[in-house]
Amino acid sequence: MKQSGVSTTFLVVTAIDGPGVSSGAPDDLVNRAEDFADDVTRTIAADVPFEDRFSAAVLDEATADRIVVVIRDPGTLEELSFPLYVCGKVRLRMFMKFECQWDSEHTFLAVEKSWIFVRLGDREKDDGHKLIPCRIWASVQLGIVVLLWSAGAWGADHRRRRPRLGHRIQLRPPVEIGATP
Amino acid sequence: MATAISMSREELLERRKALLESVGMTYDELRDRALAYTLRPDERAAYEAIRSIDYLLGSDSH
Repeated sequence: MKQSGVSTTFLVVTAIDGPGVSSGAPDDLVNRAEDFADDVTRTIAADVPFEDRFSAAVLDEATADRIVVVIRDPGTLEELSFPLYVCGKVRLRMFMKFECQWDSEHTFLAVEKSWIFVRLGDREKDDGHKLIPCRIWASVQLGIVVLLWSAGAWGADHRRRRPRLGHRIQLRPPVEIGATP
Repeated sequence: MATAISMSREELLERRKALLESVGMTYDELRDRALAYTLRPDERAAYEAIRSIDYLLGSDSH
């Protein structure tokens, strides 16, 4: 496993061939993958409190033409969600993943599929999790609008505390919303 | 800022095998439970990771 580029402050992974060794994957693909992952990170961070970082995984072969962009645990590479805050407290976890592929001319990286899950809870793994209603609009011009609401998700005993959360997250390039799961 | 990770085919296949072992299911069992929305969070994490691996390897069926 190799990490491309120079910064190792965020992703600390075991290097088989040592840091700095060029990848078997095409450099253009790796560079474009990094750009896209960074762009997603900047876009999310511009809209919500966000301390994580999206990273791109690529097959280490010269014929590689696909990447997967998601937040990964630096050690285990487990794919992670990120927190969404309501009144300063983590109430929701959002999971986002993008599967991308070069076009045939290798001129642009197309998002083939993407996934967005929203789960009620403040931890990455919470056995008491609940899926909550989530409506997502996708638009080429406007990016993506994600509107979350919690009707019923908090139960009758908590109706007075039920938050109203409307949040707009723009993503470029525009993505296709994949079905769940 | 470096945000790309490259992994060999062997590494990905090894990781896929380990993920299935961690949840004690075959991929078909995992997929069927995902379609029925009955996966626990750790199982869903494994399922997502396996789908990512399959996509990178070009062996995805979705």
